[in-house]
Parts: sequence; structure tokens; C-alpha cells
Amino acid sequence: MIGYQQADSQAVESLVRLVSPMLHRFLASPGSLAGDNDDLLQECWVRVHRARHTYRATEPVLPWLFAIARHTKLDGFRRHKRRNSREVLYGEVPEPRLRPRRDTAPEANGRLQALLNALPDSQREVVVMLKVTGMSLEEVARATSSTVGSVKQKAHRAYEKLRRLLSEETS
Amino acid sequence: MNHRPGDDGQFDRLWEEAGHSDAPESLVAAISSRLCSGLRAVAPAPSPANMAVRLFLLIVLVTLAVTSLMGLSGAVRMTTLQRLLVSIALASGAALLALSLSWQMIPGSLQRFSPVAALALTLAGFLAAVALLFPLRHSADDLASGLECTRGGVAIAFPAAFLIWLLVRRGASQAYPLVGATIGGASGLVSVAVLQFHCEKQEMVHLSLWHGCVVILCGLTGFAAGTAFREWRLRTAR
Repeated sequence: MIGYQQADSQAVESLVRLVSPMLHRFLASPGSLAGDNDDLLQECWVRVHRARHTYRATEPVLPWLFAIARHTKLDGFRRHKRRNSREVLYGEVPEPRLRPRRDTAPEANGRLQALLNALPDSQREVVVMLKVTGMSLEEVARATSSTVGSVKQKAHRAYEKLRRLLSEETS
Repeated sequence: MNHRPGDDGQFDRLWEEAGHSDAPESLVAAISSRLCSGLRAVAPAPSPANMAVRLFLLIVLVTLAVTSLMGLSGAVRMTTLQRLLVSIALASGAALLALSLSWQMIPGSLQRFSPVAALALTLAGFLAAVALLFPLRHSADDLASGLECTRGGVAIAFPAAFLIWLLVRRGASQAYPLVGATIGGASGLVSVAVLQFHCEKQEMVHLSLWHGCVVILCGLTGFAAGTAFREWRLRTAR
């Protein structure tokens, strides 16, 4: 990130390669199409580029990146909601082509999406951040503009609910 | 270290089984080349603490400048204790709002309290100081003088908000409605401070109702402006 601030092209390339998979997984909200996630990823990097002067070397980089990614995702969701509420379809729309996912078990994926959908938005966001990035509670608190106590509580409630749902499934 | 309370590993296994979709190589390459084209070096922004000090000083300087222009006829009517305690309450509110704004300017900052809490504490501090220090009196011209103070306060808040925004835009705020509300609250606090030292009617009801409502009005206006700005950006985005 420091190389990025100093206009080092190689640093930019390696940062994009390193972080894009994580950002893409985070941006892939349940039920969204692959194309939407790709657009959000591009928009997220544009925002990172514009905000790059606000990164400080003494601070962890992932919360900084994911704070921007979180707002990109929220704005994407708002845009999507607005588009759906205003668009009127006059004809048949061709089925969108979903990009085949690599290394994916469709059945497990469906179960995972169903479980995550059962969580409230704020709890789902915390679980996905913890799982996708491996950030600590404090880092997730930074990324979500929240407090450590609040993140801890959300994670606790989310995992309690997930455990209950999983045990109901198996029984 | 990850803290995952209540997780017994079942969810972890499911997460691993489900796999994940990766960003396509072509997309990652396109993003890299787009970012690298015309890449310029940038100087890192100051720390949130540094930003908070700058914002606090700006709020104090604007207050002093406008107060010196409008006069100190209200301050003359206050006792030393009233002047001291009201100044402390107002300065504490300015410090809270400056801290909150500085955290909102830098993504990924650890926010010790929310912007809403900062606004609420600022207003509560002022109201508590006024309730404890000033006499409860009513006069015939309450409404007329109150409206005049509120109008004047809102008029002062607009240029103050513009100056604060000039500093805040150097960061990379993400939640525009909350940033707008905090800027509005800070500019409202400037107005309240100016009115406190200028207004001759040093009575509890007048100060808490007609001066205090300037912070609420400015905060709400800032929130509305931030929301409108966000909606405009969503509309004009690709």
C-alpha cells in the first residue's frame, strides 16, 4: 500500500492480485450475479484509488480496504434496489449467464447461502468478514465503523443461530 | 486471532465445502492496468488525531471570529462561573464532534463512539450546563426573540459548515449522511457558542429551546444534504 502511494506500478499490481479474490468473495452477496460482483469489484478499486492518500503505514491495511469495500457493497445494494423498484419489464428478458464457479460444490453452496440468508444483514456481514479475511474482531470493528463489543456480540449471536440451524438440519 | 463464539466447526466445514468464486484473471489484469495508467504519488493524510486537532482549532477560530464581529453583549451579563462552565461544555462538544469527524474521514479508523452519540452528548452537555446555570424565567417576547436567535444561528451555521467541509473533504468519508449530520452539528455548535456570548437573553428556556434547536436543525439539514449527495452519486455513477 505504501508502494501504491508512491506510484509504484508493481506494488499496485501485486496488491490488486493479492486482495481482489478476498474482496470479490466479500462483495459476492447471496443471490447476486457474477457480473454484479465484477462491477462492484471494479468500483471498489476505483474508490480505493481515490482514497489511497488516507491510508497510514502504521495502521492495518485490511480494515482500511474493507471499510471502503463495505460501503461499495452497500451502495451497490441501494442501486440494485432502486433499479428493481423503478424498472418495468415490457418483454422477455434472456436468462443471465452465470459464470461457473471454480472449486464449488453446488449443494454445499446452496446450503451455505440459505444459512447466511437466515441471518440479519449486520450479523451476516460480520460472519462473512471474519470468514473471508481472517481479520480480528478489532479489525472488523474498524472496517464496519463499529465497536469491538458490538462486533463480538453480533458474531456470537450469528454463530449461535448458525449452530441451531445446522443442528435442526441434521436432526 | 479470530474469535468465533458458539461455532462448533460444522459451519467451518460447510464454508470449505461450498468453495468460492474468484475474480477472473482478465478482470484483475484490467483493474491493475486501469489503476496503473496515470498513477501519481500522493502524500499520506495526517493521522486522525492530527485531523481532530485541526478541526477543533477551526471550530474555535470560526467561533472567535464571528463572536468578535457580533459583540459580547451576552457574555457581559453572565457570571464568571457561567462563562467558564458554558465554555467548557461547548469546548467538550467541539472536541467530541472533531474526533468523530476525523474518524469518519479516514476509512478503517477505530471509532470509540458513534457520530450519533457524539451529537447527542454535545447537545446533552450544553442543555445540562444551561439547565444548571441559568435562571428559569419567562418574558412576553419569548417567541419573537427566540425566532430571531434561531434564524441568526442558522445563518451563521452555513458559512461555518462550508469551512468545516473544506477540511473534511481532504479525507475519504464513506457514509455521507452521517458525515453531513456531524458537520451540521459542529456548525450548529459554532452558532450556539456565538449566540451564547452575543444574546442578551440569558434565560434557561430561551437558551435551551431557541439556541439548542439550532444544533438539531443544522444536524438534520446536514443529514439531508449528505443523503441527497449520496443519492446523486448513485444516480450519476456508471
